[in-house]
Amino acid sequence: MGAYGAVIVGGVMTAAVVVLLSSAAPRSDAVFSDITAEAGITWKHFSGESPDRFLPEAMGGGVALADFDGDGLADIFLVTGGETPRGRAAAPPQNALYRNLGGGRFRDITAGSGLARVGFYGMGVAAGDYDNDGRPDLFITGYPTSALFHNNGDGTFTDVTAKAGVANTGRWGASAAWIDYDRDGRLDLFICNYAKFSFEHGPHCTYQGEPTYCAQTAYEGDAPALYHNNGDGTFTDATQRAGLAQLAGRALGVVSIDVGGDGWPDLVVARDASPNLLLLNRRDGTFRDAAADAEIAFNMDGNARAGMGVDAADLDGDGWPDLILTNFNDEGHALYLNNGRFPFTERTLALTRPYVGWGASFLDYDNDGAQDLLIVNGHLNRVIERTRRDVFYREPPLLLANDGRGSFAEARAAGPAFARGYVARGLAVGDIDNDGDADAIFTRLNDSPVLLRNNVGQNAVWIGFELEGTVSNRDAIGARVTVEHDGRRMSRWITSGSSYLSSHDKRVIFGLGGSRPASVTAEIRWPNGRTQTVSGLAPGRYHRIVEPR
Amino acid sequence: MRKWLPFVVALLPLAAQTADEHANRAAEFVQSRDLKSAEAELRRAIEMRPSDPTLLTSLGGVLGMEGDLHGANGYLRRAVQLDGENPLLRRNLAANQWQLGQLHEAATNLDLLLKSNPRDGAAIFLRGMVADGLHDYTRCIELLESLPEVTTRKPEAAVALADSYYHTNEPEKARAILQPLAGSRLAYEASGVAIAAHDYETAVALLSSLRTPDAAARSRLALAQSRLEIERGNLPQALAMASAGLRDAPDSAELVMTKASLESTLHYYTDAVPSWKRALALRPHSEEARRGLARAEWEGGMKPAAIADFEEGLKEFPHDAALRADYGTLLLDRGLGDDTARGTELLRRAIALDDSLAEAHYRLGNALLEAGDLAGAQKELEAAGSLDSQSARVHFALSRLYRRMGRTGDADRERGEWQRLKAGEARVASTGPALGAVDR
Repeated sequence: MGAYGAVIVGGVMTAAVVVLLSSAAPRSDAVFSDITAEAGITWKHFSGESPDRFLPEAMGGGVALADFDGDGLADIFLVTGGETPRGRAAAPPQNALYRNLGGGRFRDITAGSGLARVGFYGMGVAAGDYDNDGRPDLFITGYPTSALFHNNGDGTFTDVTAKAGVANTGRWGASAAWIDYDRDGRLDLFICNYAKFSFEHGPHCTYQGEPTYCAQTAYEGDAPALYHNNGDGTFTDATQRAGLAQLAGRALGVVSIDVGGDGWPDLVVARDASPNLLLLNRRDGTFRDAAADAEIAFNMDGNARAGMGVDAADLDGDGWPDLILTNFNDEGHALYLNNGRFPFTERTLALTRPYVGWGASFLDYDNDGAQDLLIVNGHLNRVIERTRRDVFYREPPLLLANDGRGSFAEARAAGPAFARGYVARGLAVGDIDNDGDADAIFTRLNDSPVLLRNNVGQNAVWIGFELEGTVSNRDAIGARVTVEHDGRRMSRWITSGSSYLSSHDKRVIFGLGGSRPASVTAEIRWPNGRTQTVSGLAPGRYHRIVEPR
Repeated sequence: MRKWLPFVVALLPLAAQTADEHANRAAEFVQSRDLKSAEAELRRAIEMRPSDPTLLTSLGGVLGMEGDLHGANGYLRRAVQLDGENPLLRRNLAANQWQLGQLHEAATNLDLLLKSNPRDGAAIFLRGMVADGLHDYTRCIELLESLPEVTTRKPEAAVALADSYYHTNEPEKARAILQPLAGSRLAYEASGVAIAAHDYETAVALLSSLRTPDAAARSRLALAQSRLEIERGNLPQALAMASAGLRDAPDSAELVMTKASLESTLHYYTDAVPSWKRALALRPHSEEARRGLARAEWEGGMKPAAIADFEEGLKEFPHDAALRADYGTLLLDRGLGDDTARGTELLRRAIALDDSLAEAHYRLGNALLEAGDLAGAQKELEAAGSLDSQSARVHFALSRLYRRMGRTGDADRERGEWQRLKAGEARVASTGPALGAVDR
């Protein structure tokens, strides 16, 4: 059971709309239940896997959770791969748009939405309201182009790529993030470009005669792209000006968040066998890579790991966003604690060493106030099981519980999905049933996604926020919300990108544990730098807060 | 570089009639290549005249031609004892000692000869060959280069000279000398010199020139080709070459170990484990094979077997520092409490056994750095740096250490050095399957 929304402008409650929801299925004791089938999600990803083993076949695809139709419920958008020269589909591969009907049910509304087919090999998705019209638009990455779709608000989308000038032509786009890096109130676009690639000249590898996907080092890394939003539906390529053009490397994951604490959004980029990037915003339209100073660029031997997914959140309550970067098997997924100074403290998660990690997201699954961690895994090559005994092609997701000080252990009773192996890739987190806890959906290569409903978070006290920028970008991407409860100060950021190829529900939830306060005070630092304090907020519901002008 | 050389036996006119007759008959047998009969005749002659140095050296020469170098040595030595002023006798003894590997004895005799006659061409040649064997490469080059056209007249000298050039960092000269040996009877031997110098391209050229290579030559060619591909960064091709070579020489420990090592590097652990076991069977007391096996088992997810092999190795090789360093490193990588303590202890023990093991210092230093023991880390990492100043990762770790110590200037200098070394690393694209972490 849950509640949606009190609308607050400028710290004064002006309206309250409470939407009561009920779940269709009985709740399980497990943290998460796989409700994919009962939700009506039947779409399957198509990778175009072929004897050529072109690397893109093993890398997709993304998923977005966002309320596309403005009904207060998070909908789902899924990105398919595509056909390859020798990997053909019986029917043309399609993306999927699922409308959230409430009650844990979804309806496929792809047909007629304009999103079914994009004309290129699809990879990831970033949802963001680039024109501040109150409706989340979609940027879909892929090879050899990418595309921007404007949300028309009536269930349809219009391809505005050509007008916007964000086709990213000739490049292999992976994750993307919306970021208002110059704080002009409009969302700009950062794209991770993975590597130079061609279906004509791909490297080919085998193991005992069987085709396999080659190691990433066989592909030359590409530079990221940054497009500045001109505010008129067009964008300008600002990569060179921002100082990013020389940062060639195999970029896969990105999260936009204020790492440095100065109120300006930075970028953390996970790169595959290329040094990770920590792009600190210099507030003049340029970035400085501080990953080496932070000691997140390399492992302790000075070698770049196979960074795939990334996320950021305050794990130890010190107000600074800490980081997770997922890596290849044997490397361990790397956790970095940000203490407000360089270098960050690395706490690589030893238990993750057998896994190839992709999507990752911090979420407080039990609403105890500490940000836990969900990671989805899955190997690249089936032959891995013939070469060793401890690594598998299909790998289980990991739900790791935070003790509140940034130490993680496997969560108990995570659910049956966590005992199964998957070839998982993208992961998005959001509250699909508005009950105040984090649900999740992850994609699988050549398979249907897995929708996980959280059964436990709503049992604790919580409070949620949906921010609406007015001076700042309307999605309030870049905002920080801070809540104090039981002597604990908790901060959450509205980020973009994060995870892998995917896009989360942009609402933030604070778990308040077992004790219910009469009211909650929240401090909001808006993306434009101004701070607002809102008091008298009732727990157990979402509050929609509009930025004062 | 030792090579059997036929002796030039000088059968001089003999004083006593009966002994002379035997000696003359022996000479006839030598000319007709009937060495056994020649030996019998000379033994009879020596029974009659046991203190005749010429007879003794002649018998030594015949025994040498028969391949009995040890037997020859006694007669040759006795001849020199009886007539120390005769350069021919001493030269024969020195040549035999060289072939027996008694290089210091050979050098002493040859130096005596050269002292009395610095222009003794045969002694200069032999002394040059001995110098190569004694790793006195500069002397070898000096002596052999002083003989006009020596490499044409005596191709063995070309092999020794090339070996010395490789060791004195003149690989171009070595290649130029070895090249004409392609297709010759010395091509196989010359390829060994090139392989030892890691000049696999030259080795492959020499071995490929053999018209009818035997199994040994084919397997050596495979080894050289495999190592050439390793140098080129093409590990799957290197593995294919090593595997092909093993079809000709299934008991070649070098090939088996090359194959095992490649399988480990490529993360083909379930293949590497039986290969390392085979290597261990061929070389039961090889510390490298034991270590390779245990590592492959560990990294292939067969940890109980790996631990058993490591523990067995600790007992079998109580003084093997590298084994302890490897085991300690893997335990530290696992990042579990007890493992960390044992890993640290093993690294300390490795260093106690061999203080020159840069890897052990580095690993221990990094572990101490992670644990916040800056003083301990400094001691170990600086030791690693002084032992292996060209290791990029040591400079990377020192940079991290100095930054934590507030020594910003030193940290920046070390980071610069790391960047310089990293940029210089071979940028060969791997074409292997994506199976595990790769060093970048």
